Amino acid sequence: MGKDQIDPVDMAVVTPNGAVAQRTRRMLSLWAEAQCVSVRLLDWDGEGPPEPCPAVLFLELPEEADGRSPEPAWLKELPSACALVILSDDQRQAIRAYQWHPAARLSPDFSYDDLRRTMNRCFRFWRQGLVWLDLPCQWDRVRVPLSRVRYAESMGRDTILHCPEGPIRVNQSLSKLEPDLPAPPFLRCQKSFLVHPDAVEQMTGGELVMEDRQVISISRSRKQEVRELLARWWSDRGREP
Amino acid sequence: MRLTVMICEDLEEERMALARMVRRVCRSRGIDLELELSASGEELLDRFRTRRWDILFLDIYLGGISGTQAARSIREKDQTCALIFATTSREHGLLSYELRVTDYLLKPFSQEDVETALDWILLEREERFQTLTIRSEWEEEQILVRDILYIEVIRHSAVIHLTNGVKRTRKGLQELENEIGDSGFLRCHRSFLVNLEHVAAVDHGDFAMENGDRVPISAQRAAEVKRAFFDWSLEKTWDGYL
Repeated sequence: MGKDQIDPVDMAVVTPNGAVAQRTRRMLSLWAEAQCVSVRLLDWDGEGPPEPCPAVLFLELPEEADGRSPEPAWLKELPSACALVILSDDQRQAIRAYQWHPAARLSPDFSYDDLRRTMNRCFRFWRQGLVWLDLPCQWDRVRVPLSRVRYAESMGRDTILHCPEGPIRVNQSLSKLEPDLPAPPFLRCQKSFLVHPDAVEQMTGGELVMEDRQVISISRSRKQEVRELLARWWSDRGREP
Repeated sequence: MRLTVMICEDLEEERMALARMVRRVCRSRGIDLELELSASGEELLDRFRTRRWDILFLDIYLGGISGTQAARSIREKDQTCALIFATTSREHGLLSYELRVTDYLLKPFSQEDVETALDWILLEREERFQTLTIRSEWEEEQILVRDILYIEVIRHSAVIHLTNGVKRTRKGLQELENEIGDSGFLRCHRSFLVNLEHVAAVDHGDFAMENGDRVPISAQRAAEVKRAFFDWSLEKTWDGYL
């Protein structure tokens, strides 16, 4: 068994602004794809108490004419297992929100990196949605969150998983492992390597420069495809190619 | 439960009023309080060189170094202190989230506001303030659970290795484990209970502790213990990574 089966973690976006709602939901999908987190976005408009209660709730309160915003009655009853992320650029609202013990605040106009940092702060709320690898490693087994794998390198019958903590040699060939390293986010740049696009620092000519300064060549037949995939990945997340 | 609190406020009257409120809350909750007061950002940062607090009430307009500057300096070195802004300023709401402020009290605030703020922190960080009562042969004393490095059983006594010494008690390891009831502690061996917060590394089948001691991991439980340690450290290191 390579990949653990997990239940998706529920998240919700409640805002009177349709464009902000749409953008936040799209950004969350991009984040979940990159972090290999199984997420279910709830269709809940904030009318009545949340059922089920989301693990992470993005909330923008509507402004009223006198500058005060009506607060939903359920807000005070929000369980502590729910991370409340306030969407606001308003000083007053940001202060007022402390009564509901928010986990974080985001500008409604947030960037992908802002979202990533915010979600890192809320890790304990959504960690149950992490997709894990469970693989044989010498006489033991090793369990690694999928997003921790920055790139995988074929080593005969084994594969080296390059993670921020260091390389892990697992007793499974890259071809057998490939179905557990889904595309997206993982992309194959040549016969011996599968890489996570977030770990790619830059693409120069026929090579990928990784965040750990490792240089990986791209096979000629995949060059165009890799270039397009990376360009789309970076453009979706507001990163300069 | 034991709590260290610092109040940094330049106006003496307000400093004393807030101190009274904090004392009143702690008295009513049966909390052993250690309270310090400071009249400026400079004095606060000077004391911060050698001291740490569980909770810091911080005014923003302080004359010299502002509360937000002081908060930034403190956050660089201390991620665990609960910061509470206690201020007239309505202009630092957005910045407060960057500084990971736990609560924002607008002056004039009431006793109830202070109670609500402290109760939330106590609830959220219960494990951090938890104490353990131990009886040695002559006396009974309270130790902070977070100060425990590990506990080992030698004959019929439990030897508690702390960051600042060693204590012995006749309590059994199972009883101590139940009393602590903290997910940050792991029974890694029949005779050892380890506080993962103070583990430096896993090395050759042992936990290498911050103070250089080694705590054995039972061969039978090695896989389970290592997995638990990995899961625990993942949560600790996730923020600021990826």
